[in-house]
Amino acid sequence: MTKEEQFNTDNANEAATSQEKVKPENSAEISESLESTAENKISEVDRTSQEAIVATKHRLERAKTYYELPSEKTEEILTNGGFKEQITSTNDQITSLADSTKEKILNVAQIMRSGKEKIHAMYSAGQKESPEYQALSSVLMKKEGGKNTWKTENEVDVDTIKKILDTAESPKSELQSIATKERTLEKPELLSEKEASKKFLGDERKKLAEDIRRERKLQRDRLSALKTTAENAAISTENIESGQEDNRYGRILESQSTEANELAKRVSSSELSEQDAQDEEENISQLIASGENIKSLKAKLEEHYTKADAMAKERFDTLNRSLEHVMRRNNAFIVHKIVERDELRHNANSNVSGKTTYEDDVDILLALEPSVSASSATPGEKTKLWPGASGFLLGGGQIGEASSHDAGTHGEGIKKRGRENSSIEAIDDVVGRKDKGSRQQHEKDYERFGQNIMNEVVVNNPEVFGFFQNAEVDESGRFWAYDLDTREQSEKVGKEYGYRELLKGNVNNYRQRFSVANERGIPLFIMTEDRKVYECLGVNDDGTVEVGKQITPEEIAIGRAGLSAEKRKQLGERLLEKKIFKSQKTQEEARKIIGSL
Amino acid sequence: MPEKPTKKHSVEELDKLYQEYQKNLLDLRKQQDQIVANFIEALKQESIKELRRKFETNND
Repeated sequence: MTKEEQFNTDNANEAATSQEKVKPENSAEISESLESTAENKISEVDRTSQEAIVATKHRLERAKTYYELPSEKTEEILTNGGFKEQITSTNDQITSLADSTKEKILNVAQIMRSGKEKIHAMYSAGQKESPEYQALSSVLMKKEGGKNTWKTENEVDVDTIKKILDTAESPKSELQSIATKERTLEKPELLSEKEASKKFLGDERKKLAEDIRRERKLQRDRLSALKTTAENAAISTENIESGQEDNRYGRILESQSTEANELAKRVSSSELSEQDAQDEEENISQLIASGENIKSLKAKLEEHYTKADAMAKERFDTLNRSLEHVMRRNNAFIVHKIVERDELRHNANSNVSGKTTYEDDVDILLALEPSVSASSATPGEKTKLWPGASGFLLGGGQIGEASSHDAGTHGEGIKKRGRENSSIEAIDDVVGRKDKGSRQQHEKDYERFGQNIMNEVVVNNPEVFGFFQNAEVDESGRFWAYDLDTREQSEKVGKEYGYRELLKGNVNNYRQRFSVANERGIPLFIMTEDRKVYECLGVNDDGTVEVGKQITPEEIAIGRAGLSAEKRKQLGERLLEKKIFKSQKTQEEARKIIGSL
Repeated sequence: MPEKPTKKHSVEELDKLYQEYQKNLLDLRKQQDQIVANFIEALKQESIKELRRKFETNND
């Protein structure tokens, strides 16, 4: 049985037993009473610790008045007797005790939550048979009235959950079906030219330091003839490599100037023998030579720092236009839809031929990470997106051009699309929907029109966080594949002719799209019309969808994204064999990209 | 059948943490009491010294 068949079978099995499943939308939440008990305890800790500190402060103030001593004397005793210090110390201990207790209380609540999230994650990864899933579910779940349900907090052994979680790796990294890479998010920081020189131009900096060291040595030798002071020699190698080039340069110049003055004085004020005159002439020429060398060093230093400054600015810009930071700053998803309508996909403007399949489209994005057109969506706001039932939640890449409407960008080859890069401010205006002057103005407009229009951002080198399909939630909290038409179809099954087949076909297509992404190790999600994103746990035969926790743009920004080079190569080689690109030039570009992995 | 709750459960764990906190807080409050008491004693001694000085000055 192929993985795809297994996926479908699993879903079919799940559908058959869907009544036994825990209601998913709140299943990862810890129970209200545990949450409120933890909150109560924390507020008690806050109250009692503050009370202890304040009560002592008041007692101390009252004590100061007991013997009617002059206030200076009282303060002197308080300080010199060590009482002030002792009180501060116990206050610190009380604060620290309160903080650590609050942390422990939160940990207990977190262990319960983590256990439930782990069960969800393993369930969606098809790891229901694993010992860890079995162990966790036996601790956290029970059967009641023929249905599986969560145990209450009084029935759950937190130590056991902790042990199971501790022995396992982090929940996401061990999901077999997830092949996206883990990432760390670097904070954008505009470095000074000196910091950038250290960070980005280490080798060049080292070489410059050596030049300076050599020059200093030469100069010291020359100037020693002129009784050079030991000052130059005091510039140690450590200083040379620790960011003191400017100071060092200044000191060499200053030293040289001093020596030149002394030389000038000596030459003008003394009667020179022929030999002395020759020596001093040699000294003068050495001094001039050293001056020229110093000028050249100065030019090199200036060039080095100009380069470092440019690199710092470029790095700052790169980080600020990275998808991760754009999503975080603007609390928005960046979404690339897969077009399935024949008249829109791979038309005359497309790089690839009309033979390209849905799977090929997915592989092109995953393997080649081409510059693509995407749109932003704010969770909770209805937003028009490019048509299509499915798409990708992008998690990494760089934003190039950004436009508050459909800019109709075209690709030039694989790695280039659109016009020049928009500024960071313009990107934030578009993605954060502040392009009408302010976010407040946007909110007013949103209220008036009831939805956002589709914007367009070009994403270069896009990395995929997840794959999603459209879904909609009804008033009872059930999620339906595609939209609420599916519910209507589901209700008409068995009552009106043709609906059974219609629903079955739609559900199969829905499962088929998920299985394409799942086979490639991409996590699965659904997105509602108001652009809320949830983990997708399963698709039922009746058209309902089982969902897990809601995902935020922040979580995507710091989550895993993009496939490993090995996986990209594997997908890319299949594409190259299929020769899907229309032009030889693009085929060659694709070959180079895959070859470089 | 639900598992019989015989082990350390979450609410019990929270109670235990809070009790431990109360015990430690009580110890620290006792320390604070002692510091304040010592401070009062030091003030008292200084006050006695001051009275003695005044007495001696008046009787010189």
